[in-house]
Amino acid sequence: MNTRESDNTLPGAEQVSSAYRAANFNEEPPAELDRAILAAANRHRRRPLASYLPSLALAATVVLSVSLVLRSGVLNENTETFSDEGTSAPDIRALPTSSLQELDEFVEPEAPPPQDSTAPGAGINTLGAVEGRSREAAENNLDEAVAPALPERAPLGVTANTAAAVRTICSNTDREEPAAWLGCIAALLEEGNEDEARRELAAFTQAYADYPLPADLDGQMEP
Amino acid sequence: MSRFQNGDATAFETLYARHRGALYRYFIRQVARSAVDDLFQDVWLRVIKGQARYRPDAPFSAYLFRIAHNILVDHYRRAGRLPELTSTEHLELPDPGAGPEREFTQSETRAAISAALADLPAAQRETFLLHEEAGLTLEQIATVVGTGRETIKSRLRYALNRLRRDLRDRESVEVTPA
Repeated sequence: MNTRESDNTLPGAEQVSSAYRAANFNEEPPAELDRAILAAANRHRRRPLASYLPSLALAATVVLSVSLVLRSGVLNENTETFSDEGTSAPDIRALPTSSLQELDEFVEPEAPPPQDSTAPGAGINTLGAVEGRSREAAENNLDEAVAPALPERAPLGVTANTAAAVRTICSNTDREEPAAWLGCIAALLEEGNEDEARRELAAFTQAYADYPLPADLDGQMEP
Repeated sequence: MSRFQNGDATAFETLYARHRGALYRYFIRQVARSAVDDLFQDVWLRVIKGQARYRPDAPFSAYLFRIAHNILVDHYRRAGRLPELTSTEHLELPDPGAGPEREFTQSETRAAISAALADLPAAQRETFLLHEEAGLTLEQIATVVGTGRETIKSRLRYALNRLRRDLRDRESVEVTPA
């Protein structure tokens, strides 16, 4: 685990971390998934430069030879000789396809892969289909992504009830009482309702510009 | 990662072995079990296909979990709602290698922590997991989820408070007050 020196100041961090480590969660991906991913990595491994050199050298030699022959006019003057001797000039179109492809791959810059959505419906055996997908999310603006994806939740079990309770508390909060108002904001934050907490805090600081904010809130809320 | 970019086949295996468990558990604690394998696989395929674009000066774990975060957000979007988590869904079978008494305690601890985590708001839960499982710093987590360090610190503090309180209430996990 990384060094997290600045995080140690958080109250309770070490106790909860210890409990989490003590639980010894050790779930791991199934072996067939490991194999599929490692195989995909192997397929997409970039070949070292040295592996292209023999093909490149061969292709360059052939191209150079053909160019020289054509430029010197030997081909035009001695066509019959070439035919008679059965040593026709090498045709670049007759080169092995793989050599040409390797050359192209070596020379051309990498094009970005096609864009698409990332529906993870494919199973382990459909890696090919999955590989065709884009990096849409990796290039997304995260701010846009997080807001709708992690909304003011109406989530799970106890939390849903608590969230409802917080809403009730806040709706009845007396804005004339700064302490009560701050308590409402802290409760919103605790429930993860950061957007609403921000709105409330902005309204609070406008109404009570000189009122000292508790350490919990001071500096925690960003614009 | 640089070695993998240069065509070293074993380099990816090393990277994969180092991060596979943490990434898998990052998803297990946040989405339904049936979706975990697909999301996990998607992350690694993006790493593989995006190898040319990776800047070696960036920490790989932060890069990996940023991709994971994006995929998780996409998953939430597609689902149109937050994940259908249940606290018991994440429990594992006991490790046969451990002694019965120790395993009993670990089982209880896992159950309690899984339940407490499932009750956290999604943003707090993810922050906690990026901190605990991925071992990221506050700054790295902020980069991964695309928000400010102070917001992350706030989320983590609330997550820790709630977890400590929940675990204490469940009385099966020894957590001393701060």
